[in-house]
Amino acid sequence: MKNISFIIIALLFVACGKQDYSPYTYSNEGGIYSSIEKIKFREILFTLKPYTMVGNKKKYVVSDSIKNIVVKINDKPWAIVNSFPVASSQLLIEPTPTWNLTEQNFAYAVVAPFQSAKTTLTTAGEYAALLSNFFILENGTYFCRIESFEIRQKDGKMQIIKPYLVTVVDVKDNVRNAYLGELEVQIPN
Amino acid sequence: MKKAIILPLFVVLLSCVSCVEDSYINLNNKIGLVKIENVSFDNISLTSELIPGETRIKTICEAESKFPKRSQVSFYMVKGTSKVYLKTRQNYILDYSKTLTITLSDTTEVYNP
Repeated sequence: MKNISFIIIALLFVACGKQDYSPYTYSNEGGIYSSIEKIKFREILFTLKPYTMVGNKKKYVVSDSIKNIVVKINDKPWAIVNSFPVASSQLLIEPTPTWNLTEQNFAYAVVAPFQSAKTTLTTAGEYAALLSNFFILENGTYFCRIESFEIRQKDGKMQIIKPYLVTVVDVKDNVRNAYLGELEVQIPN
Repeated sequence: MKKAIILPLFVVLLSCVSCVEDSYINLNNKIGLVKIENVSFDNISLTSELIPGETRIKTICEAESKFPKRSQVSFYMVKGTSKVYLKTRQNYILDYSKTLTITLSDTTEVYNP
């Protein structure tokens, strides 16, 4: 009797009735969030000044705006943006067969905020790339490259310019953006 | 008389505590650049953290009546101090006493709920 009781009790202890309790509850927060509260670097600002040489003189190209400016940081895609539109009515224009030019100091303002590679992310790899690139700009110095842009000729056609212009961007602590300065680009007549 | 009661009782108890067969989930992380945290399947916690290349095996010991289990996999993708909550688009199925292999890779389709 005692032996049987002992067996029953022993069997109760080794019974395979283990429950797998999930200790995790998940928040319903969507999107990326960061536990760091400080301001993150998000934007690059610069002015573009495409020009062409007429004789020995530098003359600046006048157009409505500059389109599809491809910006890369340390050779990683940062943004593809358009410049602000410009008003050229006050400028003294010197037309050529291809361009409207001016001797006056003329620049296109550009604001390039960070853009993810795809608007809609569908795979784990795309999310990983977004997370990797999104906060890669910690404090420090980086190479910024203006890989290409498009500018409208006098006849309305868009010409693609590939200046491969490289400059330096300094990312500082708790600062949202950096100004790269005026970037002059020579383009064909 | 006592033996007539005890023996059947013993048999009943024995059948109640007999072990079910284990099922297994084999979880692989092949997503580059990031680690994944708090991975779960059908409210079963698979792992608290998995870095690229790591594998975890989870044993599930439940009655056959609770199978098959069909669920998406949910997890946090973490890089540094940033994270995003994701779910797989695919539903995975775990059958009783079988092994389910789940590989999360760069091409796994996911969404942020």
